[in-house]
Amino acid sequence: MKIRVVIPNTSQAFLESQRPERQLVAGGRFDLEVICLDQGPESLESAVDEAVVGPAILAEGIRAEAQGFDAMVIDCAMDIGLESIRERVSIPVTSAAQASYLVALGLGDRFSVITMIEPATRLIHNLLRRYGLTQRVASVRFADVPVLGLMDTDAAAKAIAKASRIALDSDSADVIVLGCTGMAPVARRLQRELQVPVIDPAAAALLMAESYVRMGLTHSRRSYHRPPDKKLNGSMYQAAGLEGLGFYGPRQ
Amino acid sequence: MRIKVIIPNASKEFLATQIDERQAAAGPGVEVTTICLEDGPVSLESGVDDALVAVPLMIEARKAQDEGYDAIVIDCAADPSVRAVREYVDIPVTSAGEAAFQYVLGLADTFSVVTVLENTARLIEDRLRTYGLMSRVASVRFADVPVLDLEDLSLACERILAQAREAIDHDGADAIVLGCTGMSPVTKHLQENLEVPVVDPAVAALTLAESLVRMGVSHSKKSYLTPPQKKVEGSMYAGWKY
Repeated sequence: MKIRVVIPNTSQAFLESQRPERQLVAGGRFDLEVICLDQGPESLESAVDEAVVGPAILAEGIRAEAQGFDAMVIDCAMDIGLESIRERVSIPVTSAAQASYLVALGLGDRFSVITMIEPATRLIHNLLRRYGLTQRVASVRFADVPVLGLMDTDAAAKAIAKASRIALDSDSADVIVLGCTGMAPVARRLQRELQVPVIDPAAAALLMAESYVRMGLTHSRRSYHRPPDKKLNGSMYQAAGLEGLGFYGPRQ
Repeated sequence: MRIKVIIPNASKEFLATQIDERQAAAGPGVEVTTICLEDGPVSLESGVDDALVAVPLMIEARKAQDEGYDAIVIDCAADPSVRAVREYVDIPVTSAGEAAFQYVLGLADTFSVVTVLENTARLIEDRLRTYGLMSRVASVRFADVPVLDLEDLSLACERILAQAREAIDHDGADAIVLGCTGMSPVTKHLQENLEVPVVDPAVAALTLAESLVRMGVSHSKKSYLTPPQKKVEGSMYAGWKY
């Protein structure tokens, strides 16, 4: 089995800080490749970031399938690109937010998501609504640390713990879901401190991908229809580096 | 990693038909021990059956924890007594229905469950309502085949496939969850004849249990609080302790 984890930003430093964590989760049970993008924003925190990175992350999904990976993981707790990639490829695709919420369902009555900055809370609320999970959500809070600031793990842990405590004490949360994959390095430490389950969304997504491959499952074509083929104008899209793979389907 | 799979019925015959399937579904480095209950009904199809298995199921779960297992699987798609078991132990507990729902929600917008009897369908609907997932459920259907008759494979395949087909064509289901862990042998038949994902709840629960152990997480004691100790009268409960 080989799985590709794609961090949909262009920060090499962020990649280096996350790669060891993902390898630990894989535990040598399968081949794991962790990459980031070579085109796009250095972090993802807004709907504009989501729109800008769209073609780049979709291209990675297409490449992962073409290069024979058994599954692809979108290493981002805003699930950027999930819908488009599932339409376009047939291998299982998991994403950090969705996977973490699904795991949370079996661990407690209500969970809170702790994301990084306030604007992101709006995007997370939208995701929860789309997934039909709002009845199980206590709240969405933020640590007030930008994505690239999470690499200072002590400061990150302190800020996330502060927001988590408010969620646990005032919002009736029973489970904490970390709302950014960059928080992975502090997940276990936070769990020890807070004494409730703390879900690392990156680990959830990677383990869910492994699970789908082992169970021989992939997404339903009735939910994710193949996109109709069409002409795509503009040199911007030639620069995606898809070489004959095509955004809509294989090209001669 | 050691996982205890507990089939919440007292049928040694049923257990014998399931053991190999569970072993085959175990992940790398995972040792699976599958048992059934010493006390209880021979199959679980109703709320009454659920009430009858609760005490023996909790006792087996606590025993598994005391014996050092890393996680417990309640091998039943009707999710019997899950709340009680999670109050009663600290190690991760997965249950076949819930686990299957968790996985199917990452594959499709809507799903249908096809279970054994109408009684079981009502029970499963009740679970889905409790889980807050009804907005994603197309329907809960039943094949009208009792658990212990699932051994008649051609009957089971025919009835379950027919219900799944109806669910897809008429109820708007984009994926199917099998509503009984005894239906594992039918999974392949459905996958070959349907164009949608078909989730085997027994495999889902075992796979999820492994993932929880690897993530180092277990259920929240804020949700599943340790129950207050108290006196319990009657010889029926002689073996019981909080």
